[in-house]
Amino acid sequence: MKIADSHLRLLLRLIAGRGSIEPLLKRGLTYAQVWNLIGEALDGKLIIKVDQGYVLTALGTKRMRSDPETGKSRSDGGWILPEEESRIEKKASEDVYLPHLRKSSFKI
Amino acid sequence: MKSSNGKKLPTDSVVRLYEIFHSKNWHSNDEFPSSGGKLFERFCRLLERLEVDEQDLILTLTEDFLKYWELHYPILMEKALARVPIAYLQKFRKIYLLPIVASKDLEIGSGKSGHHLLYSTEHIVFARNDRYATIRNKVAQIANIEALGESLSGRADCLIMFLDDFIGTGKTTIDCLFDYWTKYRVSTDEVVVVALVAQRQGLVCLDRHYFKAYAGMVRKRGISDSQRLPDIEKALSIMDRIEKRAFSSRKYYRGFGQCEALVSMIRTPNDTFPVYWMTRGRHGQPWPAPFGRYM
Repeated sequence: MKIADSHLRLLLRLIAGRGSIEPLLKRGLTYAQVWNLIGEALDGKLIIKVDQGYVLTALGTKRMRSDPETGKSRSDGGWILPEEESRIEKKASEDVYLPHLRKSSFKI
Repeated sequence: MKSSNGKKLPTDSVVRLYEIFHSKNWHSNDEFPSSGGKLFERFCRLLERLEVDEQDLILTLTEDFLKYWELHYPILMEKALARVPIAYLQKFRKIYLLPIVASKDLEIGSGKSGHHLLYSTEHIVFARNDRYATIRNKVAQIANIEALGESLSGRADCLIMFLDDFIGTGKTTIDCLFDYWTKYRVSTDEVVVVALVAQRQGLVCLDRHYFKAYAGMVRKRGISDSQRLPDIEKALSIMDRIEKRAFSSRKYYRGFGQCEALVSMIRTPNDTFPVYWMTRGRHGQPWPAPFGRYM
């Protein structure tokens, strides 16, 4: 899955679930990048304004739920997304990887 | 700058802000040098600091916010001058353009926005618009009011036209006009004030002192006169809560003189609600003002 596509899906999920913007920022996105994502969602008619705020259109729901590789609807409905902020470059088998303690969501 | 924390910021509010920017033709990367960072980012950082009802108020007020950049100035001046009857302008032998500068600013040599306007008003608006063909040769700019008491003290039948980009409460304008009236006025002078944008209460204040004033754009108070807000009292109490929490200087609560302006020109007037322009909060902590006035 392309990262940008994954960000857009996350944006759609946050709008559908009335969530805060924090998960996108945690991925390292700036507000300028969030601006571009919102533009893409509005221009592509994936979200629409209603009285209570913004909701997904049928097209937006389909986009959120579909598998980016096959285009078919995913069994999880698009609610499970890769944790892009935790993605790292591939390491050689002898390398030792120490995750950043402060950024880690695991409690020690 | 502090790293972003969007925990309290609903995605919905960010999308709403995006749409407000679009409707106003503001861009994500518009710069406002005194604030640091880009405009959209600074607005989001401002919203991050607020509770949900406070965010809703600031977004609603931002829908009414007026932002003019330098390139808008000649257009606004054109609009303001168009309101001054041409027959009135034709009756004078000479029209002198002066910036509005309060006497306290004259003493400390502080530059005011009125100075910007002299050149463009004379050389762009008066010189290029056919409406002023019969009077343009009578127009001259005076950067320093003292000239009225020196080289021009023998004048007769002149219009003294004071220019400013913004009139808020009208207090600075009145200070400047009183200074002129007491020190430099000759009996055949007439005075007119022309501003690009003015708060209605500022124009009322000038009218109460019998000064003629014209503006390209007249603005009402942001909350008290709002047509958008369903509950004015509640909105005022929310704004009071934000300002008390964020700033120690009571003088600027609801804007200087409680002006409730929602305006930013080349510089943001301090008559505007301080959340938009004050870059230092309580205890000297930085405040993410989108249209900052000070470093």
